[in-house]
Amino acid sequence: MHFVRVTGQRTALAVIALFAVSLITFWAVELLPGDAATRMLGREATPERVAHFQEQMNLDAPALQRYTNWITGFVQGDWGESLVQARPPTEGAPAGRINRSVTDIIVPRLTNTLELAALALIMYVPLSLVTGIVTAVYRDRAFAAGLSTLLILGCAVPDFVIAIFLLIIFAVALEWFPALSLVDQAETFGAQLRMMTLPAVTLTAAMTGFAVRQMQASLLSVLNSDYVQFATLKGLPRRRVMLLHALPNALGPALRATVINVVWLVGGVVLVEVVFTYPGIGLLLLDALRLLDTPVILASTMILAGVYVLCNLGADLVAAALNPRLRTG
Amino acid sequence: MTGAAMAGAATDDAAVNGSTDGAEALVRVDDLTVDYRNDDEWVSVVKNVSFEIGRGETLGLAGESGCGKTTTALAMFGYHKPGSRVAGGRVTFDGRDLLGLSDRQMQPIRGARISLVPQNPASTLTPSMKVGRQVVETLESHGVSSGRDAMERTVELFGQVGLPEPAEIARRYPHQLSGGQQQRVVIAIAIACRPDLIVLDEPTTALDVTTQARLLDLLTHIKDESGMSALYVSHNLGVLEQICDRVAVMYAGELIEIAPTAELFNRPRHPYTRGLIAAVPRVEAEHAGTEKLRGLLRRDDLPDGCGFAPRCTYSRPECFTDSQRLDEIEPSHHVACWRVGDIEAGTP
Repeated sequence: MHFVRVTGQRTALAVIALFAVSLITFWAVELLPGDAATRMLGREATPERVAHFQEQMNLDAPALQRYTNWITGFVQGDWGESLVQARPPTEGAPAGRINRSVTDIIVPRLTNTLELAALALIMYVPLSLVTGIVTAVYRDRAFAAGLSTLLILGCAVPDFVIAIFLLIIFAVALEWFPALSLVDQAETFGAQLRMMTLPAVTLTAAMTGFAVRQMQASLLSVLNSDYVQFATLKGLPRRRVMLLHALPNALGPALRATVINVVWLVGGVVLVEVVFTYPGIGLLLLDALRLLDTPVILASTMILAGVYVLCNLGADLVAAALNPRLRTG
Repeated sequence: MTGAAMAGAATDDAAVNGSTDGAEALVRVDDLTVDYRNDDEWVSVVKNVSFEIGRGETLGLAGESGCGKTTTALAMFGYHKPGSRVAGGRVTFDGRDLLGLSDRQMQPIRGARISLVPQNPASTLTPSMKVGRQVVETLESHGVSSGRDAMERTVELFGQVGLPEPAEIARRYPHQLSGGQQQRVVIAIAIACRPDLIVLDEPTTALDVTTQARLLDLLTHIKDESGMSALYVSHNLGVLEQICDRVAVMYAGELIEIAPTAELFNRPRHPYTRGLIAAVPRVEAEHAGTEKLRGLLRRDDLPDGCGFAPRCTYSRPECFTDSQRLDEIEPSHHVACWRVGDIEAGTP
């Protein structure tokens, strides 16, 4: 019962948080100087053309009304149309300017980003788990100390520096990987994977150091705990002590580190996409901000915020499920 | 099948260390020295400690916090905490030197032939595992029983240690039990494989007085029934007087006196033991006020000679420079103090 109540509370909080994000984003864009009409038509546009554009796009309505329209549509799954991107001309379509729907724009970009994030996480989870365990268990050996030092270095170097170094070494000097990750133009899966490698490695490198240090610290404290000592002195095989007594109790903090990482990924992916020209949602958000394309900005922000909120929610629930103290109340 | 079934193979070289009293001793500790790392140097926390535990005997190990009791107790498992090392000596159990064995070689002995009841039940049981499982895995790892049999045996053990509704308790997590119940679970684990030796490291200290008394009754009962040997570590002399056959007193890592319980309590010889016994609150206040302990054990300020000298009423300059030997001053009464004669005569 306790678990159900916690789940309900956290879910309600998540919805409130997302609503707040939409409000803040909308009004922040509203406060930015300029508008989509001037960005689209240029500074020399006649006032009539600007007025026509605004009327066409329903930009002449009061801000509050536009926000209300947007959010009622948004919750029903109608995310509106881009202010600037035109739909490619199709036969039988009515003449005049008809803009692409936000969903059409976002879905392929989001897919690209999710693929990149997934590849990074696939490398990250086993890497940080194994490295964390190895450095904690063999803490007295020289190689573990060396590995730890390397990881601190990895933590200290900003991700864009890692990205640029990877570009210089593997794309420019060695030419193993392309410098531009134009995955939409990749013809084979292999080619796409090659384009994704450098950005994914950058993300993994940036995340792993932090996670390993968390895993290492929490496992070390668990390994020194009374119950691990007792399990050892009960005469259990070492592997059983590690897997059933130490690890389950060390995973909580490591999981929190992973959540912080995934949350970081939401921002990190924007940066990495820009450096590698990777056509994901981060690059889309940046372009939309340049053009003040409010519906696209709002939709991308809501998706990024949604991932953030969902990760936190998921982590709370998994932590509760892992910890009998929280599960049984 | 019990864990004791493997006992026979190891007894061949039992006679190698021809001990004077009780050649049949289950445990022999010879010159045990354990160091802890302190920054860059090693500091001895247990120094040249020697004693024996006979079969079926309960030996008490007394001393104040930090005197090396727990470290000595853990050495019975061939175990030393991370950051420490066994610098010398031997722990012979049933004829085998445990300190020479690897962790893997110790595994069938730990928990099956020598078992532990540690001090703090709240942190002894693994929080993520149901308590029943924690007993079952012990039985299974030592091949005592498995599957449903092991679960039945667990419930039986829980009944034996006085847990109410044992089948129900087995399905709970440690945090759902009281401190006393947790310690009963730990005791169930400790006796599960019918060990030859049970090491009790302050088993009741973390519990309230009523629970302490009940657990002490339980431990006495289990001991009487099973006939196993025990090493009972405690700072509480009152408890040791109740339950032990002999009591050894440690100070600053050294064994300073060891004697049969009645002898030690009636005629304590070492000034530290006398102070300790005088400090036990009693209804009949005959000792009260005669020989109070002064000061505190300070490990950073130990003399080369007798560790107790800075706090001792009888200390002479030689005490600070000459180390003491544990001498048998009466049959089975050993004391490490060269002024024992003067103390008896009452000359400070």
